[in-house]
Parts: sequence; C-alpha cells; structure tokens
Amino acid sequence: MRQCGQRWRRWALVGIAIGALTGVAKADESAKKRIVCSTTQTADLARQIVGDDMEVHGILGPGVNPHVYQPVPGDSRLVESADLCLQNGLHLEGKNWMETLARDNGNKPLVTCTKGVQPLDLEFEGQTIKDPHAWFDPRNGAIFVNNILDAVIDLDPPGAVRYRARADLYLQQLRALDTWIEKEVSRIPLERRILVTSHDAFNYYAARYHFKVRSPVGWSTGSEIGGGMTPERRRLVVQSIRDFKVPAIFVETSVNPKMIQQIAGEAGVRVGGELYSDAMGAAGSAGETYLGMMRENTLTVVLALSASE
Amino acid sequence: MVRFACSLLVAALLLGSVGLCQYALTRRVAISMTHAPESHGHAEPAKGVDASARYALYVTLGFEAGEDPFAVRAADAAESRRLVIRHGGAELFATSEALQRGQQIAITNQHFSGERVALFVEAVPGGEDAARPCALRLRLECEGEWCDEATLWSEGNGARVSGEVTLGLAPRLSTLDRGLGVR
Repeated sequence: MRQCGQRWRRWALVGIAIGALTGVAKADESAKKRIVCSTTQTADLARQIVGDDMEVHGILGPGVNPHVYQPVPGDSRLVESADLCLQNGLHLEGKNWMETLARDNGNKPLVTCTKGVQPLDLEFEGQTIKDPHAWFDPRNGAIFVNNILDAVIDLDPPGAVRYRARADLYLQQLRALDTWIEKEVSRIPLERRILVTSHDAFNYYAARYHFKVRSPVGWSTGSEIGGGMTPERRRLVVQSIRDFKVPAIFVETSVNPKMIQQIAGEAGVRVGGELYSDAMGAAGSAGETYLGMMRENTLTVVLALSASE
Repeated sequence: MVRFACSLLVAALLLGSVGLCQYALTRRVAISMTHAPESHGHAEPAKGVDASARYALYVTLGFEAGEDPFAVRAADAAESRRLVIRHGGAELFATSEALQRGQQIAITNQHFSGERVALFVEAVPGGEDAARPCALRLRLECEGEWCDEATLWSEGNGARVSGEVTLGLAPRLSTLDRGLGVR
C-alpha cells in the first residue's frame, strides 16, 4: 500500500515537471516580439533581419494589390497584438490603411521603410505624386533594410549584434543581386529596353537599369481592367510599342492581365511573361522572397526582350 | 629450456635494434625536411625581419571613395566609412572623409611581425567611379626600403574594392642588384 503511494507520488512529480517544462517553452514562445508588416516585401526583409528572434506577420498575402486593399477585422486583431508595425509608405497602402490600423489599434509604433529614399515623381490625374514602388531598385531595398534594422534594435537592444550581422549578410546579397541584374540586363540593347507593363510599378527598376517605361494605366491599378486608362494613354502605349519595335510586353501578378493581353493583340506583339509587382509570390514559388522576385522578374524581362524578333 | 631462452633473447635484441634504426632514420628525415630550404643554397638567404622595425603603408586610390549603398548604416552618419584597413582583427585605418581619385594615404609607424602581413582592405567607389571597375594600390616600406606592393581590383562595376592582401615584410630593395654594383 505504502509502495503504491510512493509510485503515485513519483508519477505526479514527473507529470508536474513535464507540465512546467511545457509551460516554460510556451511562455518563451509567446514572449517573442511580434512585427506586423503591411506588404509582402517589408515582411520578407524583416524576416531576413530578425531570423527566429521575433515573429513576423504580413497583412497582405501574395498577389494582393496594396493600392486597393480594404482591411478586415482580422487585420485589426493582428495589429493590436504587434510590438512594431512596418509599412512601405509613399501612399502605396491606398488611403494610408496601415497608418489607420496602427493608430486605431493601440497606437502602435509604425516605421515607414521608404524613409530616406529619393522618390521618383509620377504624373497622376494632373498631379505630381511620389512613386511608392521604391523597392525595385536594390539600393532602395538596402534603405528598407537599414530602416527595419534601426527599428528592431530599438525594440530589442540586446539582440543588436545578431540583427546587425544578419542585415550585413543580407545587404551583401542585395549588392550581388544588383550587380547580377546589371550584367543580365546588358544582354538587351539599350534601344530595346522598353518595359511595357500593366501599371507604373517599374520606374525605379527602369531608372536603375536604363529602361524606358510605358504603362497604359499610369500609376492607378483600379480594381478592374482599365482603371486609370484613357483612350489617349492607350493609343500612346500602342504607338510606343510600334515605334520602338518592342518584341514583348508584360503582365503583372497583382493586376488583371486582360488589358495588357488586348494591347499586345492590338500592337501585334506577344506577352513576354508575368512580373511580380506590388506583391511577391505565394509560398513555394520562386517569387516568395524579395531576392527571388527580383531575380525572376529580371529573367523574364531579359529573355523576352533580348530574344531575336 | 636454456636454448629456448637464448633464442628469445636474440630475437628480442634483433627486433629492438631494427626498431631503433627505424626511429633514428625517421628522425633524421624529419630534421632534414625541416631545414630543407637552407639545403637548396639560395644565393640570398631570407633577410630576418626586425621586430622593432617600423613600417609605412601607402594606399593610393584609383577612384573617388564614396558611400556604400549596401552597408549597414552606422549609428552616426559621420561614422559611415569610405576606406577601412584591418589587421589582426583591429582597424589599422578607417576614414569617413571624402577621398579623391589619385589621393595617397600614408599609414606610418606600424609594427608587424612574421614574414608576411595580411591586411583586409575595403573601399567603395563613389560618384562617376561607381560605374566602372576600380583599383587600389598598396605599397609597404620598412624605414624607407621597399618591401612589397599589391593592387586590389573591384569585382565589377559598382562593386566594392574589397579583399585580403598579403604583403612580404622583408625589405627587398637592398638585396636587388640594379646594375649599380650594390648588393
């Protein structure tokens, strides 16, 4: 009887120990700081810096258009649980929805990743606005990384050495990417570097790698095909394609492809492929990371524009 | 029984002497290998490096050093380095000042030990030079005598001039016969 009691006591102690260990592990997990990002690009860059030291969540999924996104109740709950919020800025998030979410859900600290970027000007409905697609120049990607690095070090100063080391390695990868893109793009003769895409997302890429851009809808993507397009714009785009003898034009992953397909038919050129633009690719796809997205876009453009007619 | 014991003793003596010979041979080979360079009889034996010798490193930039767009941002903008030279894990020289093409930087009164010194050099071509391959020249002198020199090239357009360079520490000019009858 006494032995039986001792056995029970031993099992109880083992149970308590296991429970305590599990509890500690769970508490440790939940103690991780949480970063909530508006776009897939900012989320990927943040992951590269914080590794497994923090949790990173993105509001926008792959292929979702940030210009026209309408936040849902789940986004509010996510932002409410955040220690830090990151956004692209320059009004990429239509109607500044990330600022609104951060303000309305506990006034969370919000860092704008484009801070310090030299923005390019865009003409939109008779006004000059700042182009928000700054990440398409890897040098601006480096500015994003440095802004995120400063923010995570402020959030967790003891982890600074780890964050800095990861950022340093990632910046070297961005440098290699930049050099590689220059080399690949050099296969396209300068006069054939015309990038016709669904909307004005590639101005930074074009400026960095010496392309001219033509877009039928300008900056706006709208929710439907043709949002922001005028007959005059369309005529100019078709004329540009013919004048410059552009061999191919491109659709974007986050914009309806129908209009570009129609223009390609009208101008007598082929669709060269799909480019990742406002959002990156789905998990498991080549474009699920910033580096992958830039690499795949470059390959698509180079293969389509350098091909002999 | 006595015969058996004698044969065992002889066998042990034989084995022991063979082992001793092998040991002696191995040691002699090892000794001769250690001193192999001396046995080749070079005309000029390597000049010993004086531990108290003072060195001067001259760095000449073939480009304008700018800010690196792919560097981790320093806490203070003034700390953004344009040229860094590291030796043995410590910074030998670093500057955040603007450096012009053709500018020579002299790092004097340096002490190095051993036969060679490994220096890590990092500089970023800026301005117009960022768009072309760039080079940086290093020259090491010991109390006015030339020791060694090397050129470091950027990997491509816009890339950093970065890498480890090893330079010999023994002064060499005095050992060269340049037709002046001086050796």
